[in-house]
Amino acid sequence: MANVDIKDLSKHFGSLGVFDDINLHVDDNEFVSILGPSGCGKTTLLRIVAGIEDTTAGSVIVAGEESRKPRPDTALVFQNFRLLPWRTVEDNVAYGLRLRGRSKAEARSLAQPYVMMVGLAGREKKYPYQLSGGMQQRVGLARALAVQPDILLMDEPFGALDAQTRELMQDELLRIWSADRKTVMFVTHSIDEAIVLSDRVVVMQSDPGRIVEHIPVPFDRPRDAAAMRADPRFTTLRAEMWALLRQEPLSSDMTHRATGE
Amino acid sequence: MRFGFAAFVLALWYFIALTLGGLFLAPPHVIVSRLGQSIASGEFMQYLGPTAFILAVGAGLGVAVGVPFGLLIGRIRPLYWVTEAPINIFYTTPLVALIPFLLVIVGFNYQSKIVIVFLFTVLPVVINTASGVRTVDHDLVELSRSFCAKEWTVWRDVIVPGSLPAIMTGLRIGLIHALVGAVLADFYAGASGFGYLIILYSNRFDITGALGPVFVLAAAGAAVAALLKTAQRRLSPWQGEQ
Repeated sequence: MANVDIKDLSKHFGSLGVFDDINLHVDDNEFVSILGPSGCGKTTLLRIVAGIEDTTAGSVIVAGEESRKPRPDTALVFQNFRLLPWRTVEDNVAYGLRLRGRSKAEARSLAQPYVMMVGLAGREKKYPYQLSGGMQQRVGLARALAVQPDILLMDEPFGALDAQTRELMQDELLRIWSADRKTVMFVTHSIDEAIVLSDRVVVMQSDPGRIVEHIPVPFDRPRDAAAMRADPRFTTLRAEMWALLRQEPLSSDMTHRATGE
Repeated sequence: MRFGFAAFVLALWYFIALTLGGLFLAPPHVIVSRLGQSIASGEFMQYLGPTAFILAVGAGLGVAVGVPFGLLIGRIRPLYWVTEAPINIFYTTPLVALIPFLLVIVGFNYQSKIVIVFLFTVLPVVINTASGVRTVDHDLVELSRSFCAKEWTVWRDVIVPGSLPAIMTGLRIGLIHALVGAVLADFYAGASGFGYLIILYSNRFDITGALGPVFVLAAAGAAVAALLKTAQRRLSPWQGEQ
């Protein structure tokens, strides 16, 4: 069972509290987006699940085991790609496999289908600096998929891409995920992206970071992103989430007014 | 541009040499022909041999010690904290001033010359390597860790390749310093070596003879720099054309 159970999780950086007592359950093969404004701790939450950030209190249980370190059954996709500049496309895709003990030849041959899957066939020998941002993140995605994780953790993976590339990558991810379902935790600050991709959207607010709502996305799979955006239910969901995200600046505005500013 | 500048310098040289006369500055072709005589008579090789030897051993040791030491202090923070100030103090001290002390301690022999060359080489290598390690992208270290990498794999895959350009810069500066160090060692410890040959000629006011070995030294320095630059480009194709 590739589920994630977050129990009473708190994280403080020194005296600065990021969030307190977060509880979240992600089911086996569920695609969950964590949507929130910057500073709500959504990235920190994901980094804790990935085992690259310490907790202050509480626990993360992955596949039934309390987890504090990076695990072989999870893989992380970063916002800033993080490709090794001195390795070619195929060796970057194979990198996770190499770290998990495969020989160079073995890792390359296991990585090859994932290079194809993300549409980079023919670019195996290129170096990252020779690729566009979108292509670099395809490598990042393929690298994570190549280790065949049960749980895919994605930290605003398309946040650094331009709008068109971003939508293309969302379509790709939908296609890849439909073909090979796994548990996904996807951090984003884009409402559209969260709706298009997820089974459920977890909305967070900041100061202090907290989960305010779980919103199921009732669209059937496989999905067509363009058709979804034209659907009235999409507009309703969008408005609902927007209202939740908007509460924040408004309420802090009101505190300012109440204190006489 | 480069060739134009070289031609200009050469022309200036001839102008000065011909107007002031050979006692101050000999024209280049005279220097080269004297160098040719020196090589033909075997004198040149006789003096070059010992210097080449101390250079090879001293600089070799300097690199062999400097790179690993630089990697270690760059990666292990407490070690860096302890060694930073002493290294900087040592680096800003003119090593020339220490040569007489070294000769007294180690003796007027080739061992002390090796120590001098070693000291000239090791410091720039250590400093550049350590700073290379410290500027390695921490995000990449974290990426490796996220895939359950062990510390030694992080070294192999991220830290060493990431600091390679800085290490090559360290080698370039270190080896050029080594050349200077070797000649200075000959100056002070005397009686043999390439530097001593320069002194011999200078003491006879034979500027033409002294400038020959100086030419060779300058050429060796330029060759080392060019060679390492090429090596750097070969070893780090990911940096693209620069």
